[in-house]
Order: sequence, then structure tokens, then C-alpha cells
Amino acid sequence: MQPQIVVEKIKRIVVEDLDVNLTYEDLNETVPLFEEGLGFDSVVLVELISFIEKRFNIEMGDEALNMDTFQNLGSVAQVICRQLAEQHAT
Amino acid sequence: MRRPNFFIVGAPRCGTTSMYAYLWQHPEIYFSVHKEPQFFGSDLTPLAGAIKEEELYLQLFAGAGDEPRRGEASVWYLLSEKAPYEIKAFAPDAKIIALLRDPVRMAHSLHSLYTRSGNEDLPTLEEALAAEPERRQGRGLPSKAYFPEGLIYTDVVRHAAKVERYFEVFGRENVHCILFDDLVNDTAAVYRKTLEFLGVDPEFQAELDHRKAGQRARMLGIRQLRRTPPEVIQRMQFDHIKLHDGAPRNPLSAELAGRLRGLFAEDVARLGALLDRDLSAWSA
Repeated sequence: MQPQIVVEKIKRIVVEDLDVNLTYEDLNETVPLFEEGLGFDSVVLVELISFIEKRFNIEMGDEALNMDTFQNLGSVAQVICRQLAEQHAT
Repeated sequence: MRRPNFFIVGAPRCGTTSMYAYLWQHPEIYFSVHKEPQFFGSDLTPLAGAIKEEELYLQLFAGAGDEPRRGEASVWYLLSEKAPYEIKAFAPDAKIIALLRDPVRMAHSLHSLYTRSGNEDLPTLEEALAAEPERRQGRGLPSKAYFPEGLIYTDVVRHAAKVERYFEVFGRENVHCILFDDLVNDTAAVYRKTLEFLGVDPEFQAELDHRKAGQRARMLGIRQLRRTPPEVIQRMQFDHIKLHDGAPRNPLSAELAGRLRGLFAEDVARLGALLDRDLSAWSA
């Protein structure tokens, strides 16, 4: 799956599924997820991870749960793409 | 079920969130992902995220493994007259950590936080202090006040009697007091002493930049949150943590600061004697 398609799918989760007051106009690949950006808190992030796992049929293990992964939507998409590629290869 | 055996009991605006983030990184410490569960302190107004059911409270520690120290942080336990006795009954061998600060700066910072959070509707600390007599009677409280006890600033920031109470209940050797200024000026030394107090490896090198430490703790917390029952997560309110950042908006006048220093001088001297520390700078 192309990273841009993954980003668009994550945007849809954020706007339509999460309990946050954000619109598509608020989102791009580089805006930070936390305080200075989208203002996500830990509970919202856990919800996002849960939706990602369901929609992409992947499992994000503890090793993926770090600040590098959750800098912004682009970095989240990269991790998803990597996991999907690994699944495809096996 | 694992029970907590150490508690950060306060005080608000004294560096508890930073210490929470520093301690959380330690591999021998398991911290409740929910800050401020306020399970103890039955004489306090329950905060929105308070967990009063024992079964749910213990869920906060259900994910603990072999960590010798399991803790939680609720900043109003220090103010509560009942919390020390309730904690002692629940966890007789508990270790207590209390962070304390110059009462004038603490009052100013708390007032500023409350104007952001909605607990306070008077724009200056001076006005809020003038309203205390009415507020003590339950009158003149802000319509959105969620924790009226916190609005009696001159009670909240007096530490001596509260620290004495914890000393009496737990024994001096089981209560570790940290001064906010020390935490800011030499974080590594304060952190090491705290680890020694808790009996865990004092050589552990944690991230001690408070913002980076907060980020690191957040990711560790997310791992814990994913294993936390939904009914516990529903009680959690993380948004208030964002409000904690930010300097006081209204400057404190020299005249008011001087008046307050005089008002708190006796309590500061008493605390200094309790801690065997020279706190005269807090009254100067």
C-alpha cells in the first residue's frame, strides 16, 4: 500500500472515528500529534492504535510504541507500511 | 492482586508531574498510568477522574510484574487530613514522597492554573485571597469550581502541619520531602536520593529533561493503557496535564508577595525545623 493512501486512511480514522474535534483541514502528514500539534492525549492515542490495528489488520507491538512512531501522521504511516510489507513478504 | 507501596502525595504545582515522569522510567518501578486517582482522602471533593472503588483502583497496578516499587501520584493527599491514615491502613509499609515549594510562588502558580482550568474565576491572586473568608463558608464559589478546597490558597500552601501528620503516621524515615527549588537546580541529585529512598537502583540514568521525560513516560503509559480495562480508562482525564504547562499570567506584585511572606513566615520556619533546612529565603 502506498504511504499516501495509508495517510489518507489514518486521516479518516482521526476525523470520523476518534473522539476529537478535528477536521480534514486540520490534518497533514507533518503536524505533531501531541500538545503543540493536534493535541492528542494518551487515551486518544490508544484509541487511534486500536483503530489502526483493526483497519490495517496489523498488530503494533510495544517495540513500535515510541516517540519516533508517533511524531506525526507521516511517521505513523511509515510504520504501518513497513509492517504491511513484512506481512506481505512472509 | 498487587498493591501500591509508595505514593507521591503532593503538593500541586511543586514538580509532582516531573517526578512522576522521572520515576516512571525506572525499571524497578511500576507507576499507575492514571495520575490523580485520588482513591484516598475521603474528606476531599472527588475530582472527575477519581477512582473510589477498590477493585478498579487495584486495576491500576494489575499490570505490575516483579517491580519492587509500585506507586501512584495524587497531589491532594497531602492536604487531606484523612488520606495518611487511609493509606496507612491500606498499605502499612508504604513510602511517601512529598514535593514542597515556597508557599508564595505555589499560591501564585496554583491560582494561575485554576484560572486556566475553570476552578477559579477571579483574575488575580489578590482578589482570590480576599474572597477566601466567603469561600470558606461555601459562598462566592465560581460556577465551574470542581475542587473548592483548592481555592483556599492560604491553607493549601501551608505545609508544616501536613508534613508533620505524615511523619507521625508513617515515621520520619518513610517520608521523603523534596523541595521544588532543589528539584529544579539539581534534578539528577534529587532523583538519585529519591531512588535511594525507594530502595531501587540509584545508578539508573533516566531522561531528566522534564519535557522529554514526559514524552518517554507517555509512551510507557500507552503500553500500560492498552492493557487497562475500559472502565478505568473512562475515569482518566489527560487533558488537564496540558493545562499544567505555562507560566503565571498575572505578575505577583511585590507588595502582595511581601504581605504573603509575612503571613506564611511562621509556617515556613516550622517546616524548616521539621526538615532541618534553612528556608529563610522563602520568607525574605
